[in-house]
Amino acid sequence: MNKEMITSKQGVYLLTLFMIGSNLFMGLAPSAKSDAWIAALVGTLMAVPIIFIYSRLLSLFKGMDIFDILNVVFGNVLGKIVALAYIWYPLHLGAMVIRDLGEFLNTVAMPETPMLLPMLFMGFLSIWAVMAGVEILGRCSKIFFPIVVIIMFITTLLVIPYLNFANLKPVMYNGIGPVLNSAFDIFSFPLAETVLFMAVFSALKTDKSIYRVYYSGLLIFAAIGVLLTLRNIIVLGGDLIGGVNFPLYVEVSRISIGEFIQRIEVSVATTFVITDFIKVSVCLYVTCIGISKLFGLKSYRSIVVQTGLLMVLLAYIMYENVMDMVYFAFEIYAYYALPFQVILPVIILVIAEIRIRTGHLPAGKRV
Amino acid sequence: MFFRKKDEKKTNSESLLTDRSKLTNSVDANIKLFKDIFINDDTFVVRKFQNKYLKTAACCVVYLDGMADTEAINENIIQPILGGNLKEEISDGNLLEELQYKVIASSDVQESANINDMVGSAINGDTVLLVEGYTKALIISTKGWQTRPIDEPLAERVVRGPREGFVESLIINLSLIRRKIKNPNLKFQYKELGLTTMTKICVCYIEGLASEKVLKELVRRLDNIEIDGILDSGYIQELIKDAPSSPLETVASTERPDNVAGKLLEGRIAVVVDGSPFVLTLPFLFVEYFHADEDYYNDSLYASVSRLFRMVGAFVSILFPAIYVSLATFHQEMIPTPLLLSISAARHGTPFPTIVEAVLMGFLFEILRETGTRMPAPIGQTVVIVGALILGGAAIEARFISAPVVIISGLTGITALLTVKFKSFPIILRLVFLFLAFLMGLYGIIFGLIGLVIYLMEIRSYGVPYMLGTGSFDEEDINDTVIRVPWRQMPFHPRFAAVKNRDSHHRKQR
Repeated sequence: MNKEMITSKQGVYLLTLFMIGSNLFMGLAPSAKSDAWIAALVGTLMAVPIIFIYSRLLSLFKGMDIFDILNVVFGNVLGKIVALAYIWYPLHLGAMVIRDLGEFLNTVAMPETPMLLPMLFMGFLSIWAVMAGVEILGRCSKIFFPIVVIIMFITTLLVIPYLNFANLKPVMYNGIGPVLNSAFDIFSFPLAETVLFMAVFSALKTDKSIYRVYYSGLLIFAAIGVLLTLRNIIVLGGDLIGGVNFPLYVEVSRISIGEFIQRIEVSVATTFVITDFIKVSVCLYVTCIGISKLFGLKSYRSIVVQTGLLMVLLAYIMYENVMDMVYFAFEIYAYYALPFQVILPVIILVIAEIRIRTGHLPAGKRV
Repeated sequence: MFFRKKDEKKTNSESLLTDRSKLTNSVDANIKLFKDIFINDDTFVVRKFQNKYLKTAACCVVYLDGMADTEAINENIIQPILGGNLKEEISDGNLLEELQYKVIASSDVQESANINDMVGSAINGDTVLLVEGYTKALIISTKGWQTRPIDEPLAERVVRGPREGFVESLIINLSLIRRKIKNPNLKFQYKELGLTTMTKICVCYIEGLASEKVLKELVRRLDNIEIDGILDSGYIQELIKDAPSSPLETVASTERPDNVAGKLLEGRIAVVVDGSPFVLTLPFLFVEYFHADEDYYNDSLYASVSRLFRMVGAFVSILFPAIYVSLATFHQEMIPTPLLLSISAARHGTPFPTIVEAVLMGFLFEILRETGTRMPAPIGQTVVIVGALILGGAAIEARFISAPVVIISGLTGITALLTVKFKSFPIILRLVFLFLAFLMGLYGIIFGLIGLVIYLMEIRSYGVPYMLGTGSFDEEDINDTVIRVPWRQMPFHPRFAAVKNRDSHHRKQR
């Protein structure tokens, strides 16, 4: 079914932008305060084995996405029941990301504009992109990735006058506990969210191994994430990071160079919108693929508009206010997402390995 | 109604082609046949004559006045047949063949029994020679109508580079291309389009360089064209383009032979249409909007800088009003204080909101531009004076419009002229972005830009992605896109439009 192809480079960019998603702007591991950068490092290390599981599954069943894999591993009925989980999860995740953007614009940038307006726009753009197909999404990310990196780089140059390295100290004042806790947050949001790419990377041109794509994405994200978190801490200090909802935005808004370059937080918001767009589109794409596989539709394109609007609607009614959102994102989400991110993939892999070893399943079907 | 009209035309021309009897032995009967076909056509000329010595050689030439070169007919056809001693020259074999071999002085003579061919040739300026006793006739090439001399194209002037431009004659245009690429692999294939006008078009490409997939697709689309008349290549450009409702072109047009030759060398395909000095080339990629022929003749650094300026120009012309509106209404904090003060001083006392001012001024500029385009030069100056001095200056002084908006729309208009090839695209986008900026400020613009990227990514020109080569920093791709690298680093024209391997082609050549 997948005639559309994305190159491995586009795959890496897509993956990285997806991971940068909304969370960099909400701050990686704010609860760890000045140790957030250590948490980011530890979180990345924690993600290494789980990403191995995703890549292993994908390379066992080349050219298949997660829904096909579920079908093959669990059989038709049980496979479809489990598939429901992977339809709900991206739908919910996409709604959360849309809501992030809505809250961000509503609280920080444009308090008087109704929140639904930017959310609708984001939903519309994602619907458009998903209709155009995953290949277009891959090519878009090839353009967006340099933009995001350049903006990060320039803002880093501009905050040089505001660096205060004393903010890094004391290191691990509260012990390893909070750090591990935050590392787990980072693991589940965003690193292990890449479980969704098990439905995207079936379109990958397999000239390089899937492991390489997955791990390059992880590496690039880890580099950007750790550096930006460090920068955040050095500029703002640990306490402030834990206290504001969008630390990166606050940080950049402090820039004022020569009375001319000032209040350039829009540049950061640009990267926020771009990466959010990629994340929402990937979520929407996976949801639509899942639904179309569940009901045996010929093409997922016929349900994109409905699903997209549903996602926006879900985003709109999901939380009461921004505090609700932050509470859910940092307190509940890590546990809520655990089954989708870790438990189910591990079970799938174990059963798949057993059935392949016992000869029930041919490995690497439909190469 | 349009469709019904088309059907009628179709049956008309079909009946023209089928309901015709064959030539008979008698010249007089044949002349009557032609006269029936060209009834009511006063340019139709019939001239009967006979050889002095051989009485059986009774002939008749048929041609259309104005299309055929009468001098050539006199000297090369009538005179030899009339005056020469055919009795001696011609043995008693086939008179028609003997005339063709020994008497008629023309490079292109064809024997034909098909009356449709004869009528078609006569319409194209050839002469039909009927001979008593034969059911066949000779078609002799005597095309000789007036054409415009080869001139420098008005719309695509260069400071450095060849100054010749295409004209309205298909043959002359083809020779202009051939003179640039002297290679037997350069192929020309004729086609006839337009049910009534029967316009000749020619598909040119370099075999081995051009992608066969693109060529096949082009031929398919050309064959699918159903239209009564083609008066300019613009008709075809619109009929064969991808994304038909898009303001963007996926087929390029140019008046310059050197441009076409360059495109052919890049593996693209050209379509030359008779009667039009504009030659189409395809596939057309988005970056080509920012290319000019001169980029290849000037040094590469200058060319690259000019290209970057054109891109910045397009960016400014599309986004500047929107950015101004969003800064002035949503993000005042981003404007440096002195600038903010002078803007607010200028805005003081003006009646309209910024968005209305911006739309109004943009509208005004487009009106002035459109007026200036079609005006004769002396009146054009009046338009400039009235537009710029009176309307602009007075509007500011009377506090109708604030001065920054006038500056912005002036800048917008001028920068739009950096990339004239865009036509309607920036005008439409400018309005869309103005609207988005009005709704959500800079965030609206960001949303718009993401949408624009998706939109551009979606388009393909003959299967080639429209944005190929942009957004990538691969060494090979960037050679001739945003910048132009020096020729010594690019010994071959870049080939993203075609898929074949150039090196192998080049080796084969040697």
